[in-house]
Amino acid sequence: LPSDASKPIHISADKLNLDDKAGTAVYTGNVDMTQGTMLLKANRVDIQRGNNGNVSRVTAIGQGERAYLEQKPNPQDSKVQGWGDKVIYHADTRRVELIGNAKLIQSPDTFNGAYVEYFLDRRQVNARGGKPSSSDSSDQRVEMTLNPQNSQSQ
Amino acid sequence: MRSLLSRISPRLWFILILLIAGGVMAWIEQRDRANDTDTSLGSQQEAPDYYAEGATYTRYNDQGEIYQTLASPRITHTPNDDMTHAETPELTWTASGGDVWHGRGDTGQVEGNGEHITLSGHARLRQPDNDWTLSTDTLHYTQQDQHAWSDVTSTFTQENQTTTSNRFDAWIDQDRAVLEGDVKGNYPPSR
Repeated sequence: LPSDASKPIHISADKLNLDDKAGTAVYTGNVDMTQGTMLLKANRVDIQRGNNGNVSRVTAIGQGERAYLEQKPNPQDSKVQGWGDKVIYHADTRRVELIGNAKLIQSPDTFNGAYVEYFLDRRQVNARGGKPSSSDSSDQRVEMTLNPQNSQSQ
Repeated sequence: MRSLLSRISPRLWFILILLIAGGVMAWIEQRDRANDTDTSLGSQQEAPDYYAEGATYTRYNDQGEIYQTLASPRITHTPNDDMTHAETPELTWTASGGDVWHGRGDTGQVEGNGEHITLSGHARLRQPDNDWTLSTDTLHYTQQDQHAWSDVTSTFTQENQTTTSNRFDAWIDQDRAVLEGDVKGNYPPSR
């Protein structure tokens, strides 16, 4: 929801590693993060804070299975769901990057590709193909399934 | 009287004897436990060989640099276990990197020359530069690896963020901390 940004962020995990010299806070093991209607699930979540001490960037990494994010744009809309080997949430700009084996369902449409970018408040989607990561040899093309408004997708 | 006793059946006699034996054994057991408590209490309140009021300890390393201080309104030392007991101790540890950490608690126990310290009751560890604060019930510190830890529920705060966990470890010379077990973090909204 638009009000999500003004909600606190709650995280639960098995472990938290803090390193002040590196300026990192890394949650690992069954990590669940929520902010209002937004939910992020991954094996590892790195929290970066801005100069004002607030959370500026959240990097979720799936190990074994992809990281997952969902959010409800509006009460009457169905939730938007996203998957990626890596999911980066930019708290300040309310932007999400799905990187590597990326998939976004913005009902009734589905976007697949190496990279999908989604603006939570504007609900705008950008997707592109290419190699998900430098180590990957295979090229991932962008696939979009745009369904007529009245049919429900998966 | 004799006719009355003779009329009591052997079974009833057996039950009576059992009851009496049980009562005696319970009384013996009660008395031993009382003695144990006395002796264990005795060792806790062993007579100190010295005490100091309004005391401050300062420890120096081989290079003459301060690495630990302890201030307390009342310190007592018990010789047998070479333990220093401090009331509402305020401690500082200067890490090898120069950062100063602060520790305090309702009571403190210092083993030997400050090698191992236990802070009990509203224990707190603080690193002002990072704005790290840990609150727990019991905090341990080992000088050798400059390691502070707690294996009971702990609340860690940094600026406006709060995280709770079942266990906490910090290495003061590395500015590094690990929270483990049912970790729950809360970050207030940035807007």
